[in-house]
Amino acid sequence: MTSRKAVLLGLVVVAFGWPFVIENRYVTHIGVLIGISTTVSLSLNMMLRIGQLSAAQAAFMGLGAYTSTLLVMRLGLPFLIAFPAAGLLVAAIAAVIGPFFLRVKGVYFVLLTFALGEGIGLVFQEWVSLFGGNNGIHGIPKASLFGMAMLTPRSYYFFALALVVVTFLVALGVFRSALGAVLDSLNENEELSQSLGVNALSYRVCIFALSGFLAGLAGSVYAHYTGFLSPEAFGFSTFIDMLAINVVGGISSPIGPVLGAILLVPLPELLRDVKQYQMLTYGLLLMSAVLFLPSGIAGGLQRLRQRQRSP
Amino acid sequence: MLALTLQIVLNGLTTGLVYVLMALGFTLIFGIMRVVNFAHGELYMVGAFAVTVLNGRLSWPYVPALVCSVILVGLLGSLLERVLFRRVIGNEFNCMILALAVSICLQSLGLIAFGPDEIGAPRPVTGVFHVGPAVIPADRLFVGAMAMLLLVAFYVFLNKTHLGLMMRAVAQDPEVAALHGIRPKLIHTAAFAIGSLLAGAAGALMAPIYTVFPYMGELPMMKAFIVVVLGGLGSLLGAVIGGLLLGIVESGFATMLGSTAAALVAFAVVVATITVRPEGLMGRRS
Amino acid sequence: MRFTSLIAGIIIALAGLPSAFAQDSLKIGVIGPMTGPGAQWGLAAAGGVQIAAKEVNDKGGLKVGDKTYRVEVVPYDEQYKAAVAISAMQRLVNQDGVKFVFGPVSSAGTLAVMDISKDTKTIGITGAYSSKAIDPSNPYMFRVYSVASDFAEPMVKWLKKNLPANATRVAIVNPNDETGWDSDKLLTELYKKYGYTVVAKELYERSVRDYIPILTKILAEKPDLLDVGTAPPASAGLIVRQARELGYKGDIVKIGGSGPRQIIEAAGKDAAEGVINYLPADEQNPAYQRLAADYKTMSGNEMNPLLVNWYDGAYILMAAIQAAGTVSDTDKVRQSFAKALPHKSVLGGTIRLGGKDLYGIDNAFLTTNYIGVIKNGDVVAVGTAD
Repeated sequence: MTSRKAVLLGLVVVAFGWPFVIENRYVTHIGVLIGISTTVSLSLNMMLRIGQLSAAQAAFMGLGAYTSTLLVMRLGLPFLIAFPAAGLLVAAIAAVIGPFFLRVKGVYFVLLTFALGEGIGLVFQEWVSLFGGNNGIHGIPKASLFGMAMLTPRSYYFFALALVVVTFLVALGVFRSALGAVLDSLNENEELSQSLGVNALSYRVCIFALSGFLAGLAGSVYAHYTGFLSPEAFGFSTFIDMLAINVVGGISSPIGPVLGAILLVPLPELLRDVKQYQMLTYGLLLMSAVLFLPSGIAGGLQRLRQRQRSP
Repeated sequence: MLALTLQIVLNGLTTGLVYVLMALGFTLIFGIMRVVNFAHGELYMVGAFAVTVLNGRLSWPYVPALVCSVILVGLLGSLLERVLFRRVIGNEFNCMILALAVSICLQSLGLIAFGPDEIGAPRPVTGVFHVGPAVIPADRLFVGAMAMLLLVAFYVFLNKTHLGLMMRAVAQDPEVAALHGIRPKLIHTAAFAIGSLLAGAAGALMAPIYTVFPYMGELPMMKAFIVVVLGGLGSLLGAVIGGLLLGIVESGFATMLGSTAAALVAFAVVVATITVRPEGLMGRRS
Repeated sequence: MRFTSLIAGIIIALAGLPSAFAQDSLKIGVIGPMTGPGAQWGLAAAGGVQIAAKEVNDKGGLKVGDKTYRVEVVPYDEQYKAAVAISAMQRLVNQDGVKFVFGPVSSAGTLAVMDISKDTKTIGITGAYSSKAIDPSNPYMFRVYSVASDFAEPMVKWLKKNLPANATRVAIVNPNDETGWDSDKLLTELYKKYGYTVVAKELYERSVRDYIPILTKILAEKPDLLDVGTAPPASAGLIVRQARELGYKGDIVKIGGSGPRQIIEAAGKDAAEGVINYLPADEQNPAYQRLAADYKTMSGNEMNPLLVNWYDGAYILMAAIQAAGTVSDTDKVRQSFAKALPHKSVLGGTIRLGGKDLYGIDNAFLTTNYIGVIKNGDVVAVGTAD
């Protein structure tokens, strides 16, 4: 097999294998967070690939989280049903508002999704009987698969990892398929594509709904893992996190957010002792990425490989 | 009822004028450079800290401290443009990210330098005025008056000075402006400097009204957003009308229904505006 | 691409470095907001525990059974965010091997880590105001000081006795979160019980700084007394100032989290004059001033009075550990609190163990309630309330 596939396989082996080598609950906990972050960052990545920066992804994650929680706690549904249901609900919402929102491009779309995200956050805060308000919902039951409850961080890690793998493959598949070709052509020259009979809007809505679905799934895992939900976990700063992951990791390929998450998610924990400088480091990193490595780590690595190939 | 309405309108106007200052700077930077300046709130914060340090810690008299702070933020803005933004101009997405990064850095620096606690700035203006049955604190009146002065000065600058006319030309059509020999780089630096100056002025003026702390720019930033979307990205008249409108409507909602209702309505209006009429009330279709 | 796996591996390995394990060290964790809003409360928690630990270490360490331990304090910032509190707790319990944690200071953080505390049998001594923080379902969670549900009634009683008899109209302002709702309900009940009329109540969003709209509404009802409840002290200061600007001449009280210095800073000396506060400590007390000097030397900052409660709490914990004779059997330790209390506070008052009637389990440290009044830019304790 090609060296690239070998490396990817190696990565997968390491990802599945290391929790058995480093048996540390705290490190595994970070692993779970990386997994959840990667999934939701990949959802944002999909939108970025079609040229739309959706600032509502964090709110979508929140919708998935609260939905899954309420389905399990209020309706007594098992996690195995609540989990996909959460994703589907968010996808449905995205599909409904998509046709209106996606008519708008560029910075207006960003502002629009930003307003939507903030509005959803306010609803989480204010609809207290349903969402628990500012202090949220605690005591969320652990997720369980086929009757076995997932109690250790390690079990959640593997679940999140599986989710990441699936999301990654979907992202890869979508953009390599005919759909991807259509979307690329829309990105290049929309009018020409439309003149060829491509319904631009419905393709974009599809991606929007898919990204909502994945963000919702990530939210569900987050809720049942941490056992606690509050509106601030799904606000603007979370969106910044996933945006930074995309920018630093690289947008043009799904491996970008993966790399970005692996690098950025553990950062606050590593910098815990110098807490004042945590945020500053974050900002400087982001700045450097934009100024010196605009296509992210993934893009940089790609250029490196191309240079190695050409004599 | 009359007293309450009058109070609501007065509260709304004074708050609205500050929103206008913020929105003007924000929309100027966008109109000229197509940069969504996410760091605008932090420029507000720097202005507030500057006046707190100069007037408070170093005991300068108020007016020189105010003027100096405003100029300082303007200089900071031009520095940011020259060193950072100039390198990514043209790529809207990267500009946005850069602005976010600058915002994070400025906030952290504020935190490291001053700590998280809310600091009180010295209050040069005290007392209240009674306008009929309504009460208006004198310091807010002062802020409103200064804001209006700045607006007038800005208007004069834009319409009567050479630099201002050049700016308007670039905002209207950068290519044609370049054909006329207007160097875009100069205009960009000037636009960023003046936009930042306006934000810094808003912050410096507001410093004595509430408290000063590193995160204080977040809310004004949000308001600037809403006003600019409402009034139209790039439209200066839109920023003025939008700012005053938001101030009054918000004041009314907040007093009668609570601040959350006000916020929800504001966001709903933003969503409606962008979907139905993205260029806002006064903007032009680009 | 190999590069990527390498980076990933390095980062994961770095994070997994085992922390140095000292045989004779007793680690005590502190979780509180150290940056951002509420930072003074988190810093007070860390400061109090650190000073107590230092004093014990200077005297040779903590003698438990026949071993002597050096007390090591591990503080983490929860940034007033529940998710960060969870991470901090995970790190303390799983990475740092800590069995005793002071905090989380915030209510949301405390509720978020309840399960971890229960599942890992880690003793938590929280600063949360929420009534759900102390619960029979988790016997490992204690509270370090009296909260509004404990001191509200004594304070209202004190007000009734010490304010003019014809001042019966009260307005209550609280932030719109769980602590605020609890306070709103409690204060309304208590004021009614002691013969006051509640003429106005408001809940405001935490991010609001302009209270003139809600104050306009409230002051239209002509209250004699304005209670700013659990508003964070700096916000309370703004409310005080704006109320005075709008012409309010009545009394102002804060039955909630204490922070009179922040009120003075935000309101200005003149507006803050006469504001009545709950005080966790008497600042004129010589022992208080000694502690404040120690804290200033250690951190360079002014001490928040709550530090005294955390300081006392640290000594209570250490006494309980000594009474239990073990640093690892947390069941024995938690049962030994009944032996460690009543405890004499460094200021002279008595701290009792209580809470069964209000919360269902005796897991609350009931501290002395001082009443303070702001006079001429300073806060003076004028009495106690029980």
